[in-house]
Amino acid sequence: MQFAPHLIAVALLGSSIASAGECTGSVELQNYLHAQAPSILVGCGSLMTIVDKLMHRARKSGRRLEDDQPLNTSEAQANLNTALRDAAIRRRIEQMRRAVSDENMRLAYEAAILDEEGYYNARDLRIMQLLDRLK
Amino acid sequence: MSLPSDAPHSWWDRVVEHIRDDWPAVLFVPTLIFALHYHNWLNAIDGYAFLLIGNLSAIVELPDTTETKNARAVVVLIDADSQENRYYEHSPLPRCALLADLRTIYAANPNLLAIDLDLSPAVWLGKRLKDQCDKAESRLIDLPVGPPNAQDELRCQHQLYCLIQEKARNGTGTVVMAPFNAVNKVNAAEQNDWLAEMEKAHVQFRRAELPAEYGLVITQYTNNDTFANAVYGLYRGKQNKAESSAPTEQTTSLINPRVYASGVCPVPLIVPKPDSESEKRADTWCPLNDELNAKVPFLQRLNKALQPLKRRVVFFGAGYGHDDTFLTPLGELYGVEIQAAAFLSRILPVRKSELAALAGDVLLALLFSLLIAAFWGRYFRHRMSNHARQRQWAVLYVAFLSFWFILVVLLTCAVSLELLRRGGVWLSPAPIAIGMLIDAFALGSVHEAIRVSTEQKLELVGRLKASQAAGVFNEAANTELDQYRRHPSSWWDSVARFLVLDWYRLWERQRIAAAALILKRAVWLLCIAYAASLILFH
Repeated sequence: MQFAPHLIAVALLGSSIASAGECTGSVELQNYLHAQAPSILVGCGSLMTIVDKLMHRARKSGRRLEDDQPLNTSEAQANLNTALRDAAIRRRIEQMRRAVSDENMRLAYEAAILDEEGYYNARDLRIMQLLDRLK
Repeated sequence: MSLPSDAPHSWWDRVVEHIRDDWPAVLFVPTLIFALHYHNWLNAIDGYAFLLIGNLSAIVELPDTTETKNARAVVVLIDADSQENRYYEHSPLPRCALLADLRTIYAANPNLLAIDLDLSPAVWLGKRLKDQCDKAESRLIDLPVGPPNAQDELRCQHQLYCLIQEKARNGTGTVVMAPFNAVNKVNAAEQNDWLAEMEKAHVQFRRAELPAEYGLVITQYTNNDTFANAVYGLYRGKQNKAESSAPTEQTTSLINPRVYASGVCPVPLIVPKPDSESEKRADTWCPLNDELNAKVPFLQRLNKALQPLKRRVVFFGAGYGHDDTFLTPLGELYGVEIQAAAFLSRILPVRKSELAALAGDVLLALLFSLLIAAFWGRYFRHRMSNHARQRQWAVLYVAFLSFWFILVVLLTCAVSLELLRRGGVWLSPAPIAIGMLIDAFALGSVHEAIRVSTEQKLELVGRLKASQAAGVFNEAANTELDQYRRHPSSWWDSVARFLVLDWYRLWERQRIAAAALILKRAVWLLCIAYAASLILFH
């Protein structure tokens, strides 16, 4: 029965005029509940927070793209070695090298062949080498 | 037909007479509402009532009992900092980081480990390794540092599965959330193959779905194939068999909101920096995640949290982002935290008492019907009175009834709260409030209007009979006819009467009654003017 005054206070205050504590997860909740005097009206997990969340919840409506990961060169080199062990790929690259004399163009064509064959780390290694030469 | 008796009644006689006259109507509404409530047709309003009352029941602390001491579990969380800097925001979660964290968790010797993460073979790693598990390797393998790469991740994934299998075989009860279904047939076959292999080692896979109704999670599924239920089965030393794939009816039970505060102990891999430094109580069994604890290594914090537990139950899951968060009576919490609370609610359940609910509904309906009869009776008697002042005061009785209605609803909320806090019994105030609302402002008012008008008709007949005996029937009949307000003859007449003539005519005879009427009309005008201003100027 001791909560009747609190309930009346809640009914009178309404949610819009009370400040709600923003928090997600039990870490913040436990820290709040174990504080010296947690209030039932304001703060993380309090009644007002819940009423406020019931009435207005904003969620981001997009998905963040993953950050670019730096190229792991040893892994890319291993990927290139695997590609070059394939006789068909080796033959294509040699054919291209005979037809193209410019070293930059060779790197670009080689990256294209590796891309077609599905060796993406090796492709990225060749592109990185090309960019280094163009600096 | 006899006229009503004027014999004086005691208040108790009147109560008995009222109940004797009205019991069929009084019983009808609570039983109808009870039936609607029983069939979950009042779930929306009931859910919100549970959310608010559950919140209050959890925030106010009660002394520890043996029961509450048994209902405790530790939740290891991959916090936002770890997800960003150790897991490199990678999805699916990097297997090497998972392997490292699971090794630490197993080092704390949990009796039960519930993993609320999809551990199925990561598609981006290609075909999983199917080498024999080497016990020594699973413990000693060096883990790479830095962003995940396919080669190491594939190796770590294999070791991760080996570690979980080895621990499950050696007695650590293990429940893992059933993976999200693969769309591609090849991936699905690979997933099924992996599931079968893990289940051979006594790892249980269960559905980790939570029933979210009207945006709230206040209940859990209690079918055998659910996550929290499997953990509870292992806790009791039983292996619940998952139900067959044939669809079965979903059953639910309430999650006890008290366990969020008293039973769930979160241990993040990295303690987040607290926003503000506040004075802490020292009487909690769960180590606080404050600045002091931020310097203590994860394993030490985990061991400290597990120390007071008889059965060392650990849940492990995601505590970052907003993809896996749900609104509960204690705010927005992560799925794994709710799963832990769902498990603890099986130990410390919230009981429902349908019989007590119906008895409470009927008792309150009986008591409230007395208030309804008293206030609506007075309202109609005043409204239909010959005295202008009484007619103007009549509205006050509706205001009094509204006040009592709100007060009784708040009192039933307070009773519900005390029952939930101290007895763990959920007696929803929603059906009582709805029943009282219908009684007070729909059925009850009509009932009283009919009763009062019948009484007045009988009184009129009495007066006319008396006037006939006295030989003044015509005068008496004309006096009675004068009491009735004639209909307005035109729109203009109606508006003029409403705005001016009604109170102006009254002013000459009854100034106080006229003032009350002016006040009521002024309130009416203000409402209309305010609504009009909102339309015109906003």
